[in-house]
Amino acid sequence: MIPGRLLLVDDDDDIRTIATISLERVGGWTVVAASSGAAAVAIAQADDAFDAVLLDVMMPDLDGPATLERLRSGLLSPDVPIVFLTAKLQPADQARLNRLGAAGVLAKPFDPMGLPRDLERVLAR
Amino acid sequence: MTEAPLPPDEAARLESVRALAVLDTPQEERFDRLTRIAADLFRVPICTITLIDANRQWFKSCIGLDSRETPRAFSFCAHAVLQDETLVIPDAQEDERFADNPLVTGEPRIRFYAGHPLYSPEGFKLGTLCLIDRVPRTMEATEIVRLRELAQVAENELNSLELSHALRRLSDSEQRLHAVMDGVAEGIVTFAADGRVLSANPAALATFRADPGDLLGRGVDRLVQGMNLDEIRARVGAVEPGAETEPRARTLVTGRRSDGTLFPLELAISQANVAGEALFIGIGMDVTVAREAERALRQSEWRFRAIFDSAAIGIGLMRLDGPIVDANAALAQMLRRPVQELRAMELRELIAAHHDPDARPDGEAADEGDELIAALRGRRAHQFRRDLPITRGDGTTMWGSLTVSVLQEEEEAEAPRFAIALLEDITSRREAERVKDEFVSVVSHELRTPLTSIRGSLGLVTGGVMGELPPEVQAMLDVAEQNAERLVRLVNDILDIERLGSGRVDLELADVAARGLLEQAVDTVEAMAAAGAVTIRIHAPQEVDVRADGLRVVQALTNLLGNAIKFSPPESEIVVSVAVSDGAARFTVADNGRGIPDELLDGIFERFRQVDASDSREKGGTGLGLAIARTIVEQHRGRIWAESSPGGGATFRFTLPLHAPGVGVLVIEGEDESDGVGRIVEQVRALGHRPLLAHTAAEAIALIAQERPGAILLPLGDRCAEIRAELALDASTREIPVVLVGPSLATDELLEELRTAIPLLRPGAVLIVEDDPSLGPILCRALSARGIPARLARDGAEAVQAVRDAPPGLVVLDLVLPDADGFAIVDLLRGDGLLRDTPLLVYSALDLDAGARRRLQDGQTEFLGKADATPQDVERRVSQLLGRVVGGPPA
Repeated sequence: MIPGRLLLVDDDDDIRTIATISLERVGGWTVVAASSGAAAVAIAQADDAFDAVLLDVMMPDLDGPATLERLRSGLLSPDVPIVFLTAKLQPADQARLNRLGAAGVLAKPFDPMGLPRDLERVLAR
Repeated sequence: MTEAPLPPDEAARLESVRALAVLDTPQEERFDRLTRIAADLFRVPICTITLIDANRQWFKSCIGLDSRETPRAFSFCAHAVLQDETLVIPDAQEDERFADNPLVTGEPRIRFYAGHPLYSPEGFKLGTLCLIDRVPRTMEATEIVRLRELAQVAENELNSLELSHALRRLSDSEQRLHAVMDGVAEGIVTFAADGRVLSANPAALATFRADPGDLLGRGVDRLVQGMNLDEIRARVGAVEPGAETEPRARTLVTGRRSDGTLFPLELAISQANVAGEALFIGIGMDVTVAREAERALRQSEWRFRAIFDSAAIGIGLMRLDGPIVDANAALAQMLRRPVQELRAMELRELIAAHHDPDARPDGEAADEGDELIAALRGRRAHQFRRDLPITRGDGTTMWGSLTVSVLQEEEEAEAPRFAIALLEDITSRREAERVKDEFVSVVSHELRTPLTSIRGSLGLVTGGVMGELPPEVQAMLDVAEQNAERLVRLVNDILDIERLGSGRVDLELADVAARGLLEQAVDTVEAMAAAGAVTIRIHAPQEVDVRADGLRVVQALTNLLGNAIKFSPPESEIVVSVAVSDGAARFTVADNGRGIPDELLDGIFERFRQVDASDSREKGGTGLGLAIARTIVEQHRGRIWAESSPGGGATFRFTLPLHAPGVGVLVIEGEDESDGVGRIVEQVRALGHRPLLAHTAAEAIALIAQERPGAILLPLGDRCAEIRAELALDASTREIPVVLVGPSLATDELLEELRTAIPLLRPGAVLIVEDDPSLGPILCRALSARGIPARLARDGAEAVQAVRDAPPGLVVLDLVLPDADGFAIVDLLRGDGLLRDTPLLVYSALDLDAGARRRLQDGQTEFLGKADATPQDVERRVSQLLGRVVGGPPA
């Protein structure tokens, strides 16, 4: 899959900045960043032209799984893969997240030079 | 002939005769001497001492006669005992009473008879002393007097005979009494009213450690401490002179031995009257030993009671058919109910008393409680253990770990009656676990978030995304990045080891190719190896499939590889290999580093244990990698060890169970038998299934959770019922069919049993829909070899018909068919409800997009592309899928 437009959702400003730089400069994606689940939902309501979503799991108010549910309920095409990015990666969590309908799960901390490659690997599955 | 009439006192007379106890006794010289003297004196050939019995006359002694008795009817003596004087018959032939008497007309041809009666002391005429001659004669008066005197001598002999008998009987009875007295364990002392001891039996002598001389004739009060004679006699009750009294109940007094020592004496005194004098009989026993035993028992009881009462664990004794009988303080405290209240309750009420809506509904809990108790009563199980929430008396909730064990009674009852319930309050332990889990979760998030920023920003800078840096700055930032990386690993490892160590991580077992695991692990450490200028070579000459959690095994391999890289000199090679050895897959990671000293080989897998303390800093390791690897391997029931030849590098090896495709069949080996089990395991393997072996019910339950076998084979044996009951107690195993197998089941019989237990193994349970004329039969054959007999449908119509004929357990579907496309078939059958729950393995050349996949995924579906999956892959997948379908998804 050619890197296209990506919706990045993370409540941590620093991580959002680093991931954006990594994905855009190293990976060649066009990143739209949202600082909360609610913000992501608002963005998706206005603009659904994304090729992938990279979604943090632990966020206040609307967390990752809840955001995924909202995005999936008609906001984004079911074809748009949603990948979780989580600092809480344990095998049980991974299985649970996959069952929610995620295309994959990536771990934090991530190697910013390798993140785009890892993401593409997940999307290719 | 005149027969003598019976005397008027005949009955009493006969009794006297018999009381002599002389009838039919042997001859005795003292009587024979008399008859001999009489015969000589009176010059007669015949003389007898005759006793008249009811129907005969019997001779205690006789001279001149052969027989010792003749009928009373012909008896002369019977006439003689009718009169007090001597009966004299001078000539029997001349006497009409006797002339025709057979004793006169025939032998012994009596002519003369003279008989004088013999009297008993009571005055009865017992018989006679008589003289008989074969010629007539007369008796002079002096002769008659002599005969009377001789008769008196005979009479005395007869009666002294009776006396001696009486004496003998008396002495016998005395001997018996002595034997009793000598033999009894009780000491028996008799004493007179004045306290003089008259007798003491051996037991009494032993009890008082006395010789007869110490006791006899001396005061009985010396034998009892603190009591005078009156008090001793008062023990009998009212002492009425001459009155006989019943022995009173035994009382405990203090006895005094002749050496002055005191002892507990259980004593009963009775009184008798002998020859007009009061005789007191003391019967006593030294109860020192009994009292000691009693005290020891009381003490032991007291100790156990103390343990029971002061135990920190709640203990209750309960009837299996009713309420709690006893409860200790801890149980009462835990349940916040008074012991009295607990005593009225049944265990099931406690189990059911939990009203938390999140927990199981009460009814179900109560049912389970009943079921467990019933299992114990029916001896199907000996013990069960459950962690469960319990509502306390005050309405609050606790978590308890409850163990109920049947109480083994000394005498085996029909059904066990009592059980011991142990309750441990695990509320705080559960809370601690929850807090720890939460802590781990929070730490992992809270530590990783800032680490993500640090590592991320450093990575972007050192990665050159922000532009070129001065070399010195670059070097410093590299240091920062490497250490951030190390910190990340440390956090990951600590969390890993915490979770793995607590055993709360379930393995997701699957059948995986070992080579793939090696490749993934090598991929992961590729960059690290490149940085150390180390090459890694994979050596996997044979295809080895393992039954493992792939992610975890890669983690273990990665750790071992990371370790090897760290200790490898530049330009050296690491070989990672896998091979089958001893029925297991053996993985090896061998490096050419400095090796491991022998004394450290065993400890190397301990946490933070490294060959050199400085390694941690120098090599950037966390000190946890090998410990994690060991935990992972051991969770797989594998073994891990290190080998080293100094200078020749280090070799780490571990084993994993081999993948064995097919339906899992669990064979439980009772502890007491093993011969038949190996055979059954081989049979299961021969049938193409995957044998799993457990030795105990507990092991079986653990294996079942991991492997979800399709059936459980239980060889018949002593522990069969018990194992079965234990299995039935576990909810996850209750659904799996248990087949009891005899000792020498033929393989085809076993197959039949398995087919009965596992419907999917019945012929035709797998339907293959494949139009390729060669591929279809190949698939069928491959599956049959795995013990999975398959049906083949060559087009859509056949497929639909086959499904309607007999719903299959699994469908392998080619999507491109001559008459219909696979999608339509799936839609049709799933719409019919026929295939709703049937797993589907789509094996197709079509490259399916996500939409197409979703359309098929309305059930349990697997995909295999024809482009990259061989028929062997299909066979393997089918057999895996079957194993999963048979057992249901892992709990």
